[in-house]
Amino acid sequence: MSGNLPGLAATTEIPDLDLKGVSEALQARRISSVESTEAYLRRIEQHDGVLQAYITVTPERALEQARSADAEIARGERRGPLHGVPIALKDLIAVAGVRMTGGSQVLANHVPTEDSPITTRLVEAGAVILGKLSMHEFAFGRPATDGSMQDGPFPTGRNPWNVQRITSGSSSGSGAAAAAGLCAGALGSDTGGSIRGPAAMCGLIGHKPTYGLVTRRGCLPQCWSLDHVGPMTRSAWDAAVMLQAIAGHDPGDASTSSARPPSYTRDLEAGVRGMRFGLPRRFYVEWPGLHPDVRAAAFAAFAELERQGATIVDVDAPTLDQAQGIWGAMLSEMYEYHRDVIREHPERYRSPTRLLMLASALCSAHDLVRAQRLRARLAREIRDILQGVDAIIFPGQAEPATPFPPSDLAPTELVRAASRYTNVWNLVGLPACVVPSGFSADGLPVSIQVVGRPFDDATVLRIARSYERATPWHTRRPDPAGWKL
Amino acid sequence: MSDAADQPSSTPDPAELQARFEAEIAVAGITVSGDDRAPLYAMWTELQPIRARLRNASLALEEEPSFTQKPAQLGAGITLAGVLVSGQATVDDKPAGGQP
Repeated sequence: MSGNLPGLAATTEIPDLDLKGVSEALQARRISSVESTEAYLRRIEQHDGVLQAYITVTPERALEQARSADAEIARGERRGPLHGVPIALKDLIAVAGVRMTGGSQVLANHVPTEDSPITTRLVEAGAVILGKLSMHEFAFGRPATDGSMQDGPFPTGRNPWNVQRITSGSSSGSGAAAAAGLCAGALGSDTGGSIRGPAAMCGLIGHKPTYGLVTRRGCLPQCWSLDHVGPMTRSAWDAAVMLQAIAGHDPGDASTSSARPPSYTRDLEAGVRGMRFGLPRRFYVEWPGLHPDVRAAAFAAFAELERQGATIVDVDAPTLDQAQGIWGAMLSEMYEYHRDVIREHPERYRSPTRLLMLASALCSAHDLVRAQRLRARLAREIRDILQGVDAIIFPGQAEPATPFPPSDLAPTELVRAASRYTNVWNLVGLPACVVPSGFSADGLPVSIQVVGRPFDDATVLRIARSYERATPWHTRRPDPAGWKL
Repeated sequence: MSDAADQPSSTPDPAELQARFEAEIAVAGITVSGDDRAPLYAMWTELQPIRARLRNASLALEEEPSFTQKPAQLGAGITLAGVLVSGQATVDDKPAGGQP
């Protein structure tokens, strides 16, 4: 079956492994952390000129962390599955002493003095940080191929499955790097789909955790009530392990839950037999913007889940139809964050980003309150659905990756219609995970999405894994021979 | 791509629309350069049907906003009873949804 699939079969070379493969090889001492770090650094050196996944690479720091990991592992002091594993962070997560740009000239020379607690937890877990990944400007700009990596404005990542295509945004570098083997796993952030969009278009697992599970302290905000940080990886296990490292209460982020996170790997292989899934057919399947290749792959995936013993029933929530308007009103949070800088230095933002910021300012107080009331209603409707099903499933995105737009293109929509597949779940804060479900006729990845109950991220990942292990999609790798312009 | 239902039922008077746009800019207190004005107006115009639908939504008086802006948190309207309890309890306490 996989012989006719796009891309190449994964080899045992380090950049072809998933995070689990790297972790197991390190544990078995088949490779060292230094060897794996050097392998990724070579890959970055060789291919990132085209893929544009990194804004900043930190080779000396990474090799130092790798040497330390090797020494500890040699002494029998393995910290866990991330120990010695090279990963990378979206360039809005602070690493002390490393430039953090947010993909913008506004912060081109900004160097945080403290780690985000997310960084701290990853380092404590023994992870090796390869560098900072490219992104759409302030997590909301539009994809761009122009600009300098040194001085900004910064280009966004190219899709490893077709470098003429976008990765979607805003975690473009995270998607490109994880899919192309420029790291073993990446972190992205998601305000309206910025983890799940690039993961879907790059053939990755992308998990937006429950709001309140992962701290956002030390991360550049886009919209405080919508922002989430989460993993983008080649497998569900990889995502579970990364989530485990970063989940949990942060006294410095009042939005985080005080409950202790469960194990995200314990029941990962438990399957879906007996589970009941809700399919919002009217809102997601019957929407005319859904690409037929995404639709066909999604239905094949749903059939596979039924074959494994799950039941699928149609569900609906009337307020889904208001989600775009609600989400659009919430973007006033973004303008509020940027208002002083954009007033003083509007020229420092890319033109499309500036226009989006200005448009988000044009929301009245009563529109915002009305949106909040409808947001609460939407949450109640979704809660009612989840009392009858274990999870909600639907196509992961509207369409496969599209070509880069012309560089001078101004945005025409503040809220893109296709974002309905993702931004609903930021409004209600539920765990949402995209899972590769095949390829389009053009050889581009497509996906399904699984949404679970609040703080039940473990079940979402278990469903993802149950589907993943029955299908070959996650074992395919984009062909480096195509990484040319 | 926009929903058909998002389309306005009738085309508003362009002069009136432009006046509303200028008024909203004034109320927001933002400065818009000459180059930005036309594309911003185009974006704002596209947003109007979505905003109109938001304004026309029927809401009962008792429907409150989520003041906490933490919709997945305990007490904020979506947390399921028994899924999450505060303090030292964990979500491990939740009954498994389905059979292995």
